[in-house]
Amino acid sequence: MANKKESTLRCVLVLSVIAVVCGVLLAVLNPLLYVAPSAEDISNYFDLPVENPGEWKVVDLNSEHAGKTTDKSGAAVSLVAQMQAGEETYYGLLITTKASGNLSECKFVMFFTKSDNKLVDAKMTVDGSSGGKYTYESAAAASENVKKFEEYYVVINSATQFDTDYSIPKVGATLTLTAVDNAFKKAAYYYYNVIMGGGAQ
Amino acid sequence: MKNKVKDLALDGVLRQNPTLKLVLGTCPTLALTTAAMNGVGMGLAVTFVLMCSNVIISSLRNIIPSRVRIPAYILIIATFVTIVRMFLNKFAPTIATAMGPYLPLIVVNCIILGRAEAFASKNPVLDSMFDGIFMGLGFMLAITLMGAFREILGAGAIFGVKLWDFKIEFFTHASGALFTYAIFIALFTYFSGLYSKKSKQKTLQKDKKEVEA
Repeated sequence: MANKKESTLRCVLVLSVIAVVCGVLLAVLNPLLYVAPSAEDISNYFDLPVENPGEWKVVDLNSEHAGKTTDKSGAAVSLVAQMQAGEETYYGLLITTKASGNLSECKFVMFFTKSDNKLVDAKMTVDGSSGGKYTYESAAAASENVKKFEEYYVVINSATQFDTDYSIPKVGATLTLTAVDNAFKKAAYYYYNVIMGGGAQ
Repeated sequence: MKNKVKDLALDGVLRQNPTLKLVLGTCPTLALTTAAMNGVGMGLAVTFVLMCSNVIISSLRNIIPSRVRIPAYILIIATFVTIVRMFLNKFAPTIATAMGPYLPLIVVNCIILGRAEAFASKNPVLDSMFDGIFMGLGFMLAITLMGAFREILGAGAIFGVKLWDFKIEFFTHASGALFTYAIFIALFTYFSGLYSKKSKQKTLQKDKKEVEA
């Protein structure tokens, strides 16, 4: 009985010592190797081909307007960064849309120029669509369609964010296309209200 | 010592190749071999974790009670996997992203737990270190070759460098991964059979000569 108790005590002691040593080792390495999630997102998604690109700098998120994916809009701004390239200032917005049905969470990145408030590029960086080739192709088309917003909404203004007339043909992959719509609306809303200082309406 | 290292090297890369002979670490093998570069990245990560965990487990083999050996191994392996993950996130974020969930899943990789249980817990530190290095290299070699094969046929490229426009999309899919794995195991079994036959014949001839002498 005494032996068994001693052996159990030894097991607990050895495991505890190993856990403490491992913890200390990680604590020592953490300040050297840790990368903040925002920096990780920037290196993964913020890729805008412009001349003389500067470094992306994270801009404080306005939580009041950024929203949550659980909101009615189904989209949330999760990261905003700013980059200086030559004389132009670029803003990048990372938008996450909520999972719905077969569609998992998607991520979009949209880039704007500060001088004329133009949407210059948009990409679906995390494609949450599933369900075979057809859906995949439709999702790819949806992601391409984000770029077509440029044709309709060259300049972000107060109307852009509330106008429901614009729509992309929702033939198949409806959930994905809805996510694209939601992402763009959220980006336009945030850009207008926070970056342009338009004020929420 | 030299012979022992040679033996361990032959075991890790050929005779006991973890991917093609022992069929361990199948999940990352199937999921990450869409490109040769993924194989190199995953192989290096596994080699580092395998070597470090083998060294620590071997040096603690007389201290860790056998009743709690598995949780102890997991603790040690998880620490090294976390270090590798943090390192890749900081210095090679593209590779870290390409590996996705398979990087943290190295913690439960059968090769690492298998070598800890079968080798490091019974052998001295130096031998365990070499076992970790060569088993890791064997794994890396196998998945890099499979990755190169699938990348060439499925994407018409090698290490991201485009070779031609000809593509067989099948090789980029999961079914292509299983097909490639089957081909590689079949080829490996055939050639390792030939190799062991030859080495057996050589030993027999040597024995005969010694008896005659």
